[in-house]
Amino acid sequence: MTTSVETKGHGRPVPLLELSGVEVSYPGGVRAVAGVDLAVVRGETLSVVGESGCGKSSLARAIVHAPPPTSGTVRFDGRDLEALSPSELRALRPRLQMIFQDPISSLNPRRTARQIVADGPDIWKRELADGGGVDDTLRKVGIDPDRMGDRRPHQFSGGQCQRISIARAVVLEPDVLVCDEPVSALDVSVQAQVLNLLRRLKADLDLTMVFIAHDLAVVKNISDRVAVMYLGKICEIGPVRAIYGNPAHHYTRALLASVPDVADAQRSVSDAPVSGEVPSPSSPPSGCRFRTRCPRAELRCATEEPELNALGAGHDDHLVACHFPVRG
Amino acid sequence: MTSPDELLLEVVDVTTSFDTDLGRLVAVDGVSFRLHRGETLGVVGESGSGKSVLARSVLRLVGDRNAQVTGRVVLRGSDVLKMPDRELRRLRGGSAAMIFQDPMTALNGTMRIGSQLSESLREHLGLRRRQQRDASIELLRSVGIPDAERQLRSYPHQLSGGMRQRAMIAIALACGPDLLIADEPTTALDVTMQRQVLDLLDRQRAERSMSMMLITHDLGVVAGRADSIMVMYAGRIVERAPARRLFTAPRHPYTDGLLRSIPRLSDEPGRELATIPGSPPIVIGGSTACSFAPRCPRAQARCLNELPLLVEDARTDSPSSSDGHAYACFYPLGTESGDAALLGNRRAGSTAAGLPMAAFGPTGDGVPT
Repeated sequence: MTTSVETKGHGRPVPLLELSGVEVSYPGGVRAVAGVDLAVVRGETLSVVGESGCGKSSLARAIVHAPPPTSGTVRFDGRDLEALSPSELRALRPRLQMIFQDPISSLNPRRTARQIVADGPDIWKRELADGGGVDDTLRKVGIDPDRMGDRRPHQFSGGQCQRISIARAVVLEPDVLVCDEPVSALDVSVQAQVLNLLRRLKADLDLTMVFIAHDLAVVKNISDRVAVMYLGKICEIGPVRAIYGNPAHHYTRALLASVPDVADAQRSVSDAPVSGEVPSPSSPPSGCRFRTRCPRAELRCATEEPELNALGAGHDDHLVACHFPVRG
Repeated sequence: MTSPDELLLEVVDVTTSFDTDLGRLVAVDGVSFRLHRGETLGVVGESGSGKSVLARSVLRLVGDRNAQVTGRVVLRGSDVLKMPDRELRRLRGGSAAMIFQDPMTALNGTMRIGSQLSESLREHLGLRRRQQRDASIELLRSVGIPDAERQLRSYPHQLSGGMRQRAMIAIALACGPDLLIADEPTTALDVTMQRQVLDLLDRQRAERSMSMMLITHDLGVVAGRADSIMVMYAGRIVERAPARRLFTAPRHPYTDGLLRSIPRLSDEPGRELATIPGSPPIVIGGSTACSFAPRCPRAQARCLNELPLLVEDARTDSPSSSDGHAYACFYPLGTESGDAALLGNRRAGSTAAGLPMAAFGPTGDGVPT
């Protein structure tokens, strides 16, 4: 099993975040994440995309160890999070921040915007550098602290609440920001504002982002690399242009064909590209997990589980788990 | 998507308001439109735009005691808002049906799917037991539910989200409605399932020459499926046009802003998205000016003082005025006055509402044509 980032020989950077064999199980025998290997290098945005129940949110939580994965390891900056003592893990938390889908319920309704953003630095007794203060951070996310700093969450719109959650995370100067569906609860006109903000903050603050989403157009806009998840496993991963321009896994192709796009007004809508439903994660199909819905499935797909391998020479960073990938 | 000329639904000046602690909240503000047989009308808007309240107003489903609905809703010649309750009960689930975003709130959780289908077949069509069963199985098959005979005995919670949505569609279609109102029918579904359900609705509409109001926040959902589209903002229709025209030549700055702020699969990665600054308003007491002016790159003094009405585009070459392109804007795209307003605001650095032009991002304020 190779990951897309080699640490030796190639002179490529050591990954900031490295997952190996990560599994997340829930009572009742549901393996939401069924063995994921991932490496995220400093400064990149890696998106994990998939349908509901594919395990992407469980994976996001496993990355920040809230809660830790059932098995497998998460290494952050070279350190295995599992091996850390509780106090060491706590000390690492400011560097590993997360924002959530529902911006309103993830903020304390009784505290003002300023207090919400100031809580983290207070707890960590952190001296804020010049330009890193609470008010400056609020300004960075587009909330005017003089006019709105003393308002409480219910006095803000959904988009503004998401800006405050982002401020709360970035005020701690994290290395990694894990975003779980950060724009899917927002109106379309507001979604663009928050996506632009995240992209700008990533550049200004030198952030590394793990972006969890179901919307393929949003993911294309924000990502450097994309991992497609199906039933707890990664079925394809690669640079954003490769995944969208040259999708090799039949599931990725089906997903892309399903997206309703404004351009559809120009062409007539053709046949449904994929039939059936996602099987239950408590009893996934044998062999390839997608085979029950795959147009290309053969006997081999039922007996032998495909491994995540490079698509071929010249495509070292484009990996696909399929016996019969589509080569563009 | 051809539409015979038979007029099915005519909505005239419908206003729906709610008494709240803040005052009279006008959710739908003087909306008029017409729908012909076999046509699909897309209704697009963000949260709070009034699109769902409009859908409920059409079937008199606004149950709130503090609500007031005025205007006329004429369905096949009779006014829904004035008809006696008995007639209304025959209409709902009979010649007009509605499906909702969340099937769990629309389905009865304590009744088997089969009983819920039979109920409506018995009440509206007077079918006997044996016929009810056959018709139910046929309906479930037609919406793509596998193993239909067994599923008749299932309770809603035993079905997956996609199957529940299909069951709700089957119940709505049971009596062969002339009008189907679909309020965000696929928002709770995954993309692959969304595509299947939208295709199903479209097929059923064509086979039954049914008319459909497809209500959604997602412009992509109505693209390629609706014949015409209405865009709602703050309770009012701000633009209405044949679908293709709305996407290729929008007139209203809100429609234009929406279209350009949506990330698209055809875009290059990393593109800075155009934005609409601020967020949608809540209208108390009815609009007296353009509700979009505070977020609009073209806003002039007139927009802040006067309410723009929905007017037909003089240049549309459509024979019938109800199918034409209409918009509610003093300074629309593609007009001299509109371009002048935009360029003037750019020179001044801010709009008449005091919004700095920089707030629109690098390409966000629109291009004069």
